Amino acid sequence: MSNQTLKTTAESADIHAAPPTPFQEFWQYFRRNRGALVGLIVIGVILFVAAFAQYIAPYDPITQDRTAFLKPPFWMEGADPRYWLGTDAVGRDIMSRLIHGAQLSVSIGVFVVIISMVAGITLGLVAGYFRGWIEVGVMRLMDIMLALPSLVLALAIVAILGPGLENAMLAIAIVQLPHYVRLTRASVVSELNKEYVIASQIAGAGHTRQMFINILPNCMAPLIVQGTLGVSSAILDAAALGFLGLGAQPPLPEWGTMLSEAREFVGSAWWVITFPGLCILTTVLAFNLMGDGLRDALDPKMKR
Amino acid sequence: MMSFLDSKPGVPLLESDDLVRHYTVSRGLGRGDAVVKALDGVSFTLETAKTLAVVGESGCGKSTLGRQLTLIEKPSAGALKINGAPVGKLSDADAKLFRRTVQMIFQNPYGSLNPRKKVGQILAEPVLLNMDHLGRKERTERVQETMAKVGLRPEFIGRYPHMFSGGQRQRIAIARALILEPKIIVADEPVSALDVSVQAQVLNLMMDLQDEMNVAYVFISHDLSVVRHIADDVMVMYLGRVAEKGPTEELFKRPLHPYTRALLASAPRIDPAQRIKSEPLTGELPSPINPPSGCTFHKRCPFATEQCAQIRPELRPFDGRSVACHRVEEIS
Repeated sequence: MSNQTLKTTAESADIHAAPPTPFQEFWQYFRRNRGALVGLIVIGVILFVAAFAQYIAPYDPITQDRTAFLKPPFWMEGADPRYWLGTDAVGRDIMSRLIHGAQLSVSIGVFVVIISMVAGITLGLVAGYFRGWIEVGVMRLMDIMLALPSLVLALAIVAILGPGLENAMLAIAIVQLPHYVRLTRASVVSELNKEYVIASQIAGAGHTRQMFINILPNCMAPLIVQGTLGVSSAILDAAALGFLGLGAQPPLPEWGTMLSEAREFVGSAWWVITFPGLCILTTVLAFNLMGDGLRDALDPKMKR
Repeated sequence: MMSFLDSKPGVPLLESDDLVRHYTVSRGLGRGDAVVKALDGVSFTLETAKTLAVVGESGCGKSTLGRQLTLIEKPSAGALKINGAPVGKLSDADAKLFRRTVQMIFQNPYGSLNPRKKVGQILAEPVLLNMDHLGRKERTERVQETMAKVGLRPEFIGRYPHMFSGGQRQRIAIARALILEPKIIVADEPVSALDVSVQAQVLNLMMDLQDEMNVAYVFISHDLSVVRHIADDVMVMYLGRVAEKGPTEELFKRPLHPYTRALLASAPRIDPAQRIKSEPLTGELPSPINPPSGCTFHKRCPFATEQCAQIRPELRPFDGRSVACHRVEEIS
């Protein structure tokens, strides 16, 4: 019968209009969001600066110049032309410290997100896939962690582990964990009832294959968004811990720690405290803008 | 050791004996759990290269039956035999053999294909998991052969499901079910999510493949015209039980059970002379938590008597088919 002809016409229709790949589609939506683009560019600049800090920074971040204490930035009276953004109370070049600080902040953000994403996704996946008492146990624990203010919890963890950059990162990763667990579990539960999961079950896929190969890739969109936003809150939390003296220890040029050291000069030398603050603000803002753009581009409900 | 793969003379390919599936549902705080009798004693046989259609209203247990046949769920009671070999607790090796015997096609081709995987990966998964002896190259060859069988072009292997139309997606789903060369395919409303024009293509494809590969279908559907087109036998289900079972043409020409009559009468027909005269079906499908006494259909049946409300009619042979009705002699 005309089955054969029907087949060929149905197929030829598809060849000409090859739909865009998921990435092309994503980029089209992302590109339209100005703020997200600006965020992406700023993040690109920060990443570049962080990667090549040794070559870009004019001075060593911890070398002290006894001849130049608290020198103002170049456009002010009494400035030392060698130090563009001035020096701090012990004669270190602020610009060099900020550039090296970018390295620290970016690695804090990235590592914290990686640690808590890996742990959070695994816990959420297990909780959502197996349900039952595992789910109850994991999710109630996460609820308890969410009930404590994040900074207080981070402070408590650092107090137990002892101050220092690594411990601060670990503490922030633990504090961020519940967000990833909840997000993963919610997506997994909604994916679990879809027919493709049952089809793979009939094909003989075991639990590990179902969780990590079949279900997880379909849950990644909200997690990518949360991860991007998580970088900014990790930087912010690390700065806060640094400011309280529990994060990076002097003389490490971490932005939060720089703020803390400059506290007593707020009245007399504004540049010591303003520039690290601006750096934190810019970085966090850029990550937030990009995260929002990602959310708009990846969330099917936001698409027209 | 009996194997699912070897057929034996005189033994049906698939035999379901009094298959039961009950679900326990919680009714909320302070009230006990209730039992939903989704499947309440269903027996049938299926021969090689035949099609058995399972029809009925939504909620009659036809999809539940499909889930038991493919072992997505374990039946609460009753026995399932394939080529005479009982399907019970399966070892890993037996489970692989079972999967190579029974596969499934789903209703919604938009949900049954993993959106993050390429067609080639989707089709290769069953082979990868159940045919250990095949290498990567042989696997790809098998995927390509199967794609050709269902009329998909070989270059589609690297595309994602969202790049295809509904009909083509269902072809991919059929290819996935066929790739292990199973003896039985359970098709749960395989065309009801498709456009009518595409439905015919997919149905014809399924029938061609049946001739080519000798596969038997358990075809779950509520679309009677589709069933008449494709099925050799029809099993009408009502509230988890079989109401009537028989060869397709006879059943369509002369339905015996009052429920079958009502079901056929509810299908629209253009020619008024062909319309079946029947009392219209009133009321809703009763809740399977609390089914009516006796014959579960008696509250909606125009022929119901006192006996129907008290004694449950068993499936019994009548005029070349099986009917579960006390008054079938009088009605016919």
